[in-house]
Amino acid sequence: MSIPADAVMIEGAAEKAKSTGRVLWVDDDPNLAAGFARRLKRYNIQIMHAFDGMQGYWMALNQKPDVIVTDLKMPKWPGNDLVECLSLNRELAGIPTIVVSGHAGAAEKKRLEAMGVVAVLEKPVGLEDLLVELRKFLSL
Amino acid sequence: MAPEQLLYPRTADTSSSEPDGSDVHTELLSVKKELRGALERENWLRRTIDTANDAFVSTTVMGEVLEWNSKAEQLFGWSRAEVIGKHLSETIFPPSVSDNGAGGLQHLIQVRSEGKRVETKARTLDGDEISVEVSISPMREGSSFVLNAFIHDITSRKQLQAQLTHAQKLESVGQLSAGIAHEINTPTQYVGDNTRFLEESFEEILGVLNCFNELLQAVEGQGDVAAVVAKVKKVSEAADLEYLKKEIQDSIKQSLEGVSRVASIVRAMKEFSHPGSATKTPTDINKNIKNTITVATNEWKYVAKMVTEMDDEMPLIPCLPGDLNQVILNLIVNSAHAIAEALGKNPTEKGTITISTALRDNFAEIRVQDTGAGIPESIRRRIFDPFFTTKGVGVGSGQGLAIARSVIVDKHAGTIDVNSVEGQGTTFLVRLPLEEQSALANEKHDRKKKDSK
Ligand SMILES: Nc1ncnc2c1ncn2[C@@H]1O[C@H](COP(=O)(O)OP(=O)(O)OP(=O)(O)O)[C@@H](O)[C@H]1O
Ligand SMILES: [Mg+2]
Repeated sequence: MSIPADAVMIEGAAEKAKSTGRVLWVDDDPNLAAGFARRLKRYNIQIMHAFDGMQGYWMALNQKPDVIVTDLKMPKWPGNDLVECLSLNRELAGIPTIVVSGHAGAAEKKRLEAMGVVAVLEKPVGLEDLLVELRKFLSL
Repeated sequence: MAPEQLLYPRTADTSSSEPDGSDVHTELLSVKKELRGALERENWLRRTIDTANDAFVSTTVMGEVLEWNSKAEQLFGWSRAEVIGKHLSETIFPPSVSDNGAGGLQHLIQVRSEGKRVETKARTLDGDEISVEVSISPMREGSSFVLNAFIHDITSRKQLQAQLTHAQKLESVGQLSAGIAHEINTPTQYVGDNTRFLEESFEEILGVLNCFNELLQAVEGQGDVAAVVAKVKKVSEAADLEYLKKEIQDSIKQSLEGVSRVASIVRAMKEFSHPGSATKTPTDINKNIKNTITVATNEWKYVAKMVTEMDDEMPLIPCLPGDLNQVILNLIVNSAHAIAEALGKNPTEKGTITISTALRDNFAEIRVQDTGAGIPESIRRRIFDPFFTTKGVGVGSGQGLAIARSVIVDKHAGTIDVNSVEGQGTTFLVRLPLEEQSALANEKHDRKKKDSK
């Protein structure tokens, strides 16, 4: 499988030195990740974007991000499958994973947390709420 | 005297009749008895017919009423005396009744194979149209025929059916709304983020502009030009104007996309749930189909690519737009389910749903084609039955196609057919008559076509 051109880092390579965190964002809407990328850049967070769970898993393996943020309902692997696969892979199991989705009901939230997801946030999420979670794992 | 004795008094008498008993007397007795028997029988039959739960109407082949029971009096409003000798087209089956060709029973019997139950509309004395089910049988009478029909009032059943359609519509709107919320949440999220980004960027750009202002003043002789130039350079660099230029353009473009996406979803939803007409209206079916696709986006987009091939020449089609939307929605959801089933739990690619419209032979054709699992031959006959489903609880209740059939065939005099290859996919073909026509007229049309082949 190959990565589409716009799935690679949104930020230029020059930003790398300044980056305080590399976040893999998995969502089937490219505009959504682009919006977050613009805002998080002000906190020196660098966003990588994957369009579905399977690509997200592949990029997690190759890029070893500091944090993974994922949606639930996506084509190919949905978020659930991604979370499950991440938790089963010894190399990736340690990467904190946050779910940002409009689909998580209370039961689903519990189940995800039991699988090791560190936070489940409702879409649309305020940047502050997201930063609260990210600060736990990144030095901003 | 007990009835048996009245009818059969002779059995006992014969043996005991006197040897000189007059033949005339015996004959008179038997004639009287026969007459009496006939009268009794007539009376008995009359009562049987009058206590029947359905209206009974008997006519000549020309449609002239010969018999009319009390239920018919109740149901249609004409008394027996009023109606006997009148033509059906002057009473319950006038040519103006929407679902009926001229000619009443005779016409019904020619069009439909005899003995079948036929759903149609009839008129009452008050001028109301009621839905009825008619079962007709011809009876030989000398060199001609008499047509006997039992007519059953199905108005309340029809109303129940309409309510069911409505209930399913509400249910699907409920289901859809979760998907729509998600479809709207995503653009809302990034339009908000982009606007914040623009706000922050504007601050930075203002900072740069202020520096340029200082520069202008310096050049006009009020300051240290070299120092201000250095400042301009530093501030511009910090603001990363190249980056801002690109990202501001992108974020405006994407925000506009998001806003128009939300607008189109809201518009489609509004048109989907309030199609504006409870009676048949000339409808742009291409537009209705596109709206329904939009409203249902969340149902298909994770498993399928949507391809539309609309006939741009499609005229306005007389139909019930809300009901048609429901049919399209049911077909799309079925296709999405069938594709999900074919893809399995960990799909590596998407399937395709192709929706096309075309004009053919006085019909508007709508095809909904999918690359799903297909329908096994063994169940193909049953898929239109109410409550027939192969899906789990909470996924399907088996109403989708039953409603589709009722809407297309009963309400629009159209047809719905399926073509499926297991493992490859399924195509549903809906045909709607271009002109508002009665079901009967269509069938006649079909027959003619078949006959001429
Ligand atoms: N496009 C299709 N591909 C494969 N099978 C189909 C398709 N459409 C319908 N079927 C089969 O026909 C059955 C009946 O369909 P129908 O739409 O009436 O009910 P349902 O989808 O099971 O439930 P509901 O529509 O009430 O949610 C389905 O359960 C499925 O087995
Ligand atoms: Mg269905």
